[in-house]
Amino acid sequence: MLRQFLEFSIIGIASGGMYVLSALGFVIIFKATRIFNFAMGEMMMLPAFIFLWAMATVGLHWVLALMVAILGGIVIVLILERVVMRRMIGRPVVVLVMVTLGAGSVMRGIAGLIWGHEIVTLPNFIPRDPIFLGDILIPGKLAWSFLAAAVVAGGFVAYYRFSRAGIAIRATASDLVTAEVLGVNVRWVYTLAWMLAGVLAAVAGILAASVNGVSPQLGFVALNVLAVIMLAGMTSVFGVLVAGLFIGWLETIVGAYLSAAWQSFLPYVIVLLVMMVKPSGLFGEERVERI
Amino acid sequence: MTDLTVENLSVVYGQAIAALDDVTMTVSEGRMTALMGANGAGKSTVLKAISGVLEFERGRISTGRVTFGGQQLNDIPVHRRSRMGVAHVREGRHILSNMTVEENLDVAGFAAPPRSKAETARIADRIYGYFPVLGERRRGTAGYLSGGEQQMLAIGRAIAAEPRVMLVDEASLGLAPMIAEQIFEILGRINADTGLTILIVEQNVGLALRYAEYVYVLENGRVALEGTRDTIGTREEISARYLGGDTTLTEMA
Ligand SMILES: Nc1ncnc2c1ncn2[C@@H]1O[C@H](COP(=O)(O)OP(=O)(O)OP(=O)(O)O)[C@@H](O)[C@H]1O
Ligand SMILES: [Mg+2]
Repeated sequence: MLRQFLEFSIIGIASGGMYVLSALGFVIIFKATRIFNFAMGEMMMLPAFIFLWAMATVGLHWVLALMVAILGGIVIVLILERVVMRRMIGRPVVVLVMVTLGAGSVMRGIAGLIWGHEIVTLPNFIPRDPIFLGDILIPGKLAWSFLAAAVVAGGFVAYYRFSRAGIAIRATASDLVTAEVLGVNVRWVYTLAWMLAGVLAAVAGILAASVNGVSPQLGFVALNVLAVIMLAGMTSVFGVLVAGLFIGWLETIVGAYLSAAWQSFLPYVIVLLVMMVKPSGLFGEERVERI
Repeated sequence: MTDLTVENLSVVYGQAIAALDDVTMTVSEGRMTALMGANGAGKSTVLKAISGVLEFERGRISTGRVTFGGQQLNDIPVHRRSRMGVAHVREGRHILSNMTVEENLDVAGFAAPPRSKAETARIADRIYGYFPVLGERRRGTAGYLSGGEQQMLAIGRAIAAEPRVMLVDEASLGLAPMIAEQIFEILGRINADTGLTILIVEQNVGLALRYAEYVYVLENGRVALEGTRDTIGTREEISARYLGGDTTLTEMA
């Protein structure tokens, strides 16, 4: 009993790794630009297709294919940011959010035209041999994906916390005019935030596709990421780490002990309850404001 | 010469509100210059036109130009002006409240060429030398500093950018007279020690006349009076005539 619970728990936490990555992407864009980016799911889906194409059609080694997919993800994001979002600077936030929704639909449509609508499984590139922690068994794919997610998330958090660029993003998030007056090129920060989110999304998308296959609808998993972000509090990088793993765990446990029907909405019930008690989310920054 | 000049400057907010009308000023290199005037006279607008912050407030230079060391600034983005050495301490402090005191200073490093760790520390120490409170609270959240301390941080942050000209908008606003005096004393010392060019906007005429060598007075968006500290008139005259001060003082003078 206990062993089974532990096994499900570890599987759940491991599947939360992908949520963490894509939620970090949401948060970094939201912090820097105040835009809630509904195209995040499609920013995961397109690189997953590019990865599939590079591996299966071109025949690249998976490491190269991964690099191609991440680069492709960055290019897509740059097009989105430079061609679409940048023209929208200064418009009401609602408009910007609607624009990301629209961009997401367009991206889904393009993917459907090119690759069709069936779910395609990726070639195996992650070792499948299960990993044993004592006598607890973890499926190999999941274990290695989680490790990959942890490395990427860890690298991102270190970059955000300690690099010069990280300071610029945080300053812009706090007060963009002040950041600009102090010499930060705020437009460059916007671009950087989108690009970072693009990389996070690409890795998250490929990990999601490696478990569930890829289709233009892959991006819809990003909707579960909304629960993660709301729970974490829109702006908390640390909160996302905790909330992402928690939601992953909760989904798996609910799926295992109740049913798939419960799985699809129980996380949202929990999120709603938390938000009723603490509207800024569990870890949302309480703005320090003192005049 | 790296003088800062404003030539025939007119500024409009949102297509309609004229805030400045044909303002011409020179802020000479190495000097402390003061800009005074009643509320709404256009003082802050002059500083915003120089630093470029107007862009963020739907303001626009309709005629005239701003130059620094002979180079026209009008169309240069704000962050590039700050990298050229223009530091703007805005009205209302604008501390990055969720970040620490130290991180606030670090952000200003973006206005200067990349620095080594040692150099960053040396500059921070210099600022903590001017404002010891900031040193004591360097790891503390900036938003929890008192108003006066936040003003010190705003000025310290500008110093951290190692500017060639510093614009300071109402440094004394809302501060106890002693703290205001202390801040001006430090500005005077920085000006004397390093020859940093400083343009202050100040409502407290006494303070301004004590520290600035040259004074401009704005009235309804125009320069109404200018001159050196010694020729421009007494504190009472200026207060009464331009700042809506006590008129009985003028009669006495
Ligand atoms: N962002 C803005 N949008 C519209 N009008 C503005 C804006 N900022 C300033 N103004 C107007 O421009 C004029 C000059 O304002 P400014 O802030 O430069 O005055 P000031 O001399 O600094 O006043 P104070 O002493 O009150 O700070 C005022 O009439 C003001 O209402
Ligand atoms: Mg003002």
